[in-house]
Amino acid sequence: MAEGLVVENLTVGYHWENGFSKIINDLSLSIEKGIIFGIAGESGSGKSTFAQSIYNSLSYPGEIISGKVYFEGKDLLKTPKNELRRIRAVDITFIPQAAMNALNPVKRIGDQFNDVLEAHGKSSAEYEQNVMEVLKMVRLPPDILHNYPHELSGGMRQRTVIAMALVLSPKLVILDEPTTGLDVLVEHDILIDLKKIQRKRGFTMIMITHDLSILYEISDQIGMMYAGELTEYGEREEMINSSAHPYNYLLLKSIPRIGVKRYSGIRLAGNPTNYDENSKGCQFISRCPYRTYECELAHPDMNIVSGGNHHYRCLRYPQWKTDEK
Amino acid sequence: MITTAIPVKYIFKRLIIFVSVFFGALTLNFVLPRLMPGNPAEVIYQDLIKASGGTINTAYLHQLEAEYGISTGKPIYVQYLIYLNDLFHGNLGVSISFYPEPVSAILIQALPWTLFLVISAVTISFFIGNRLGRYAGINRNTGKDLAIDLFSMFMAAFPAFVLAFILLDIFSVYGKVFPIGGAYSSSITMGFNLPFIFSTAYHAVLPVATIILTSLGGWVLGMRNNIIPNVNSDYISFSRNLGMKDYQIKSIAYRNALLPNLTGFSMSIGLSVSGVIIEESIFSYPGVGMYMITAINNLDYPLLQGIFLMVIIAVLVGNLIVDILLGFLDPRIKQEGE
Repeated sequence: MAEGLVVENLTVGYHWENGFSKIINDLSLSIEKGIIFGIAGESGSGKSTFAQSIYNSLSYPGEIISGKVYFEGKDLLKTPKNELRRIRAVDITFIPQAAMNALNPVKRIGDQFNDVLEAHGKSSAEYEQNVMEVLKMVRLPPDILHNYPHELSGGMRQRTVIAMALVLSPKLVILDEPTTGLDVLVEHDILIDLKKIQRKRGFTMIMITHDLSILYEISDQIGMMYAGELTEYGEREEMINSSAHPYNYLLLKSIPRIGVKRYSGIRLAGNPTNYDENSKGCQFISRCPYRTYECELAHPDMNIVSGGNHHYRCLRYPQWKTDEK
Repeated sequence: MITTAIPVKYIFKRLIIFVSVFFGALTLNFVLPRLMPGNPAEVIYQDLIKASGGTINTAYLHQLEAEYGISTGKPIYVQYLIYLNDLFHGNLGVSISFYPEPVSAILIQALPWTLFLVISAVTISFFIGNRLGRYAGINRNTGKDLAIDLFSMFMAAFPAFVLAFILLDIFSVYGKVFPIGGAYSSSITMGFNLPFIFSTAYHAVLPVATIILTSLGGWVLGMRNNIIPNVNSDYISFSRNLGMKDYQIKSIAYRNALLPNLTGFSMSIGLSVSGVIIEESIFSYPGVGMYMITAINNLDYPLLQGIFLMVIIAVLVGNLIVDILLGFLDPRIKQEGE
C-alpha cells in the first residue's frame, strides 16, 4: 500500500532558560495514502509540536533534533526553504489551531484567495473555477469573497480557512485542532464536511485533536500520543474494540454515554505528564493502574498485534487485559 | 452584507465630531484670554504712560480698545457673538507687536513656511521611521535591530534645540555649507521659479533635518513595536503555511502595523505647526513659531489667539483626514462608526 507520509525517529524539543527539554521522543509512524489519520493526546503530549514538525514549520524555541519526514520520497525536513514554500498549499497544506484568527483582518476574502494563487504563480482568472468549487465544498456562498473576515461568523471563517488551504488541491492536509473555539454543532458539521471533501478528493488527512468523540467518528486510523510518544495506533475498529494499551482503553472508558450507567471500575487517574528523559521505564507508568515492577525497568518498544497494523507500546499486553477482571 | 465603497455614514459622523470639537475649541480660545487680568489696549496704554512719564488722555485708551476689537465693557455673550462674527469674516484683530499689521496678514505670511517645513519634515520622517521600524521589527533580536533601536532611542531623547545648535555650528558657522538663517536668499525674488524653489529647499535643509532626526525615533520604535506582534500573529503564520512569498508576508504585516502609526501621523502634522517653534527661532525661519515667540515676549494677545486658532484648525483637520482615511484602510473601524 502506498504511503502518504512516513515519519522516522522524529525527536523534537524546546529550548528554555536552563536548557532543552525533549517533547517528542523517537517517534516513527507510517500513514497510508488517502486516509484520515487522527492523532489524539492530552495537553503537553506533543501533538501540536508533532503537527508543526511534520510540516517543518516549527520555529524557535522549538527545534527538531533528528528524524526524517518523507512525503513522496522527499524528506521534508531536508527540503530547502524556498522549495518548501513552493510545495506548501500546492502539495501539502496546514490548517492551524485557532483558525478563526488566521485571516488577515484588513483584506477582503477574495483578495486573500488571490494572494495564495499569486504566491504560487497561478492567475486568479484561471483558477476562479477552483475557488468557486472549493467554496461550494465547504458550503459557503460565493458572496463571501467580497466580505472582510470580521463580517463572518466563527464557523464561516473556519470554513474559509479550510477552503483557502484546499484551493490548490493538495495531496496531504494536516489539521492542528482545526475547530478550537467553535461550538459543538458547528464543529461537528465542519468535520463531517471535511470528511466528505477528503473522500471526494482522496487526499491524505492528518488530524490532531483532543476531542475523542470527533476523532473516533471521522478517522480511518487513530494514533494515541502520551508524553511525546505514540502509545498505540491502528485501525479505528481495533482501537475502539480491542485496545492494546491501557491509555486508550481508559480514555475510551472515560467518555460518558447517555443511558449507560457510569463506569465504576478502574479509571484514568492523575495528571498528564511530559516526556521524562530520566525515566528508564514506561512513560505512562505514573498513571497506569496495571503497572508492575517490570514497567519501571525497561522502556517498551513498539510492537504489533499479530497479523495486523495495530501497533502498541506496552510490556504487559495482553496480560493487563486479564488483570482488570 | 456587502459594504459600500464610500462609508457616507462614517464620514458624516466624523464631520459632526469635527464641527463640535471645533466650536468647543473656539469657545475656549475666546474664554482663556478673558480670564487674564487686563487687556492688550491697557498694556499699550500703560507702556505709553510709562514712556512719556506723564498722563495721556483716556480717550486714547478707548480708541485703542476699538482698534483691537476689545469690548470688555459689553456683556460676555455679546462679546462672544462679536468674536464669532469677526472670526468668520477673517478678522482676528490687530497685532500689538507688529502694530498696525492685522493678525490675519501675519498668519497668511507665516503659515505657508511652517506648513512647508512641517509637512516635508514629518512626511520624510514618517516614511523613513516606518521603514526602519519595519526592518528592525522583522529582524528583531539581531544586531541590526539593536543598532536601530539604540539610535532611535538616543535621537528621541536628544533635545531638539541642542541638535539644532550643533547642526547650525557645524554646517553654517564653521562649515559654511548651509545658510545661517532665513527661508530663502534675499537676492532672489519670491515667485514660482527655479532659483527660488532651489533656494527654499537649500534653506530648509537644516531645520528639516533637525525635525526629522528628533522625531524619527518615535516612528521607528512605534513601528517596531507594532510589527512584532503582527509578525507572530495567526494570520501571518497561516500565510507562511500557505507558502506565501516573503514580500507578501511583509506587506501583510506592514499594512496591519501601519494603521496605529497613521493616527500618530495626523496628530503630529497638526501639533508640529506649533511644535517647531524652537527650530524656527534657532534657524530664524519666518514661520508661525518665530512669530509666536515674539508674541509671547510682547504680550501680543491677538496674535497668540490667532496662532492658537490655527493650531486648533491644523490638529482637527489632520485628524479628520486620517479618520476618513482609516475608514478606507481598516474596514473594522468603518463598521464601528456605522
